[in-house]
Amino acid sequence: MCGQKKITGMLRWRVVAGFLAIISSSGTVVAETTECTVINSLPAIISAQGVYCLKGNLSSALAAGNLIDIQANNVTIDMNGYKLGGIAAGLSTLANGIFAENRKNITLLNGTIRGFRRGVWLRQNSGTSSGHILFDLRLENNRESGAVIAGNGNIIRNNQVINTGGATGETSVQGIHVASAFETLVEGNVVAGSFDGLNGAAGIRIDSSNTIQVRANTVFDTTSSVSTASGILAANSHSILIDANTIVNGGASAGDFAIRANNSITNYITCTNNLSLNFTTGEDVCDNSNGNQHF
Amino acid sequence: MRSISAFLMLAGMLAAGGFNTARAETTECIEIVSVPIQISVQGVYCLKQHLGTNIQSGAAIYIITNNVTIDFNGFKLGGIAAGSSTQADGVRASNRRNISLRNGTIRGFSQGVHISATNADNSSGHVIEDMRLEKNTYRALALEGRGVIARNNLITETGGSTAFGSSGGAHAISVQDSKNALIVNNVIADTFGTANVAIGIWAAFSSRVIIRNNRITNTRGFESGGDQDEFGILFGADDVVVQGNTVINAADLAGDVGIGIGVGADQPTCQNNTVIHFDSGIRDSRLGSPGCNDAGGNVYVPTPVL
Repeated sequence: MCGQKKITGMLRWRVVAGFLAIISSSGTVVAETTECTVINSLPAIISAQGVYCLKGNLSSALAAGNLIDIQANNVTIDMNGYKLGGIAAGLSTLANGIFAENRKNITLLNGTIRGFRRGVWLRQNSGTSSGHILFDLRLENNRESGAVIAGNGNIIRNNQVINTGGATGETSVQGIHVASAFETLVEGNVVAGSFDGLNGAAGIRIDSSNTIQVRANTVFDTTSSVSTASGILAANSHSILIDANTIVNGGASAGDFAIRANNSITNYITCTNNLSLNFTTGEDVCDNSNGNQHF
Repeated sequence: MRSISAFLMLAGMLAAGGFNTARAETTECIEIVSVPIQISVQGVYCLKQHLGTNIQSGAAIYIITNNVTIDFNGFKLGGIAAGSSTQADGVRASNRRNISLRNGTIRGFSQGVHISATNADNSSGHVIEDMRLEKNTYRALALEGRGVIARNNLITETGGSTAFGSSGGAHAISVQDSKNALIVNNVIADTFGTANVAIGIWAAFSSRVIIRNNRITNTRGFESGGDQDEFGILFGADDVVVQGNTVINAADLAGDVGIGIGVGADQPTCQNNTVIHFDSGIRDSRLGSPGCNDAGGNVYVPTPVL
């Protein structure tokens, strides 16, 4: 914590209809948040509920820890189109862009997070993480995951996740990672380029979760030179709907999957109306399948 | 108000409204007060008034750095005073990353938005959304790079250039030297080539491009007396998915093609597209014409014989 700036603004958490109006099913965010507590240096700790924002690009070469550490519930960060950058820390960075643990109602929107091990990590280790929303973020050149989200009642929508991977020694690489979560919607995201990972790469990975809907996402170029690549992977999970996603690779490689449901305890996976190109296997062990097309 | 259930319920209600977006201005930004201008510092820029220029070459806004957002705040960047022979771009960037353009009008340039790359990996992450592109004379949106998104744009009256002689075609959206591009929910009306071919959406020298849920009407090329002077969608790229598009002409023009697959395409896939009043619905020009991977739901309605 040494050297971190503690933001203690007393703005109450205010979610008004005007703010929520920036969420739409396929739409975009064009509003800025001006009445907010400005995050103007890194690393920063947020310890008070409220609406925070960026009013300029922020970057750091810190190679470990969390650049923005959210230690309160009910926190919104509108990045206002600006960038949170960690590229200078190099490929082997262990730093996370935005982190929260066992928190409720974190909303992150409208900006670029690039160059971290995990661009966003909303972690749960005691069953109290819930209600998070990630939307209209550009997550670029993060090394292990663009975003990792846990808990219940989350929405990950309309994000652009580009070029996830590139570090040596990461066990798995994924654009979006839903881990230990339930009642979560992953919708309308574009995941372009998820690669490497000692145990494989996935565009969207659902792990140890249930009641997750993965729908209408576009997943490009999921590759692994050392293990299995899966456009969408459900592992150790059940009661998952994978619907209307488009999953495209440049060419099939041995052992790759457009949609994969692995591990013997993964079950009740429903795959509908998905379209995939250039994988060795279109769907692997979907319990219920309808309307899927694989070429 | 702090109830998560109420929060999610309201979010869901708003989400159900389709892609209508809330519009608000960006006020805390670096204002672009005149053009032509070069942007060399990363950040969020905006317009707070209409801007215009009569330059006939170069670019009204030339971005020479990464991570730049321009919110047009509903205002116009105009170049119509340069006339039909203009070779100027409205917004230009070359070999850059993470350029976002939103919420305004660009009209009257040779190329409304021109994002170029020496190869796809040198340019990435661009998002062009909620823009109106009107009366651009050659290409409204010309995009190159990796992971580029063009969504929710309205593109009208593209064409009419007199700068290129008999090679003067018109492309509303052009995707070249790209990987992983997503062209979605755009409305394209009236693309006309006064001296050559007109194309609503064109993808070439690219791979893994998704062309989804676009609405394309009245694509009219120069009638050379030959074949294939107009295409609603044309691609000569690999692994292109054409999905859920509607392509309509008012009347059948000789040799016109709703969705064209050109030489160089590999693994084209077509699903749920509707083509109305073209000579051909989906036409494959490749050797042996293997056709599009038919993922179902494609509808072709030829011009009725009255």
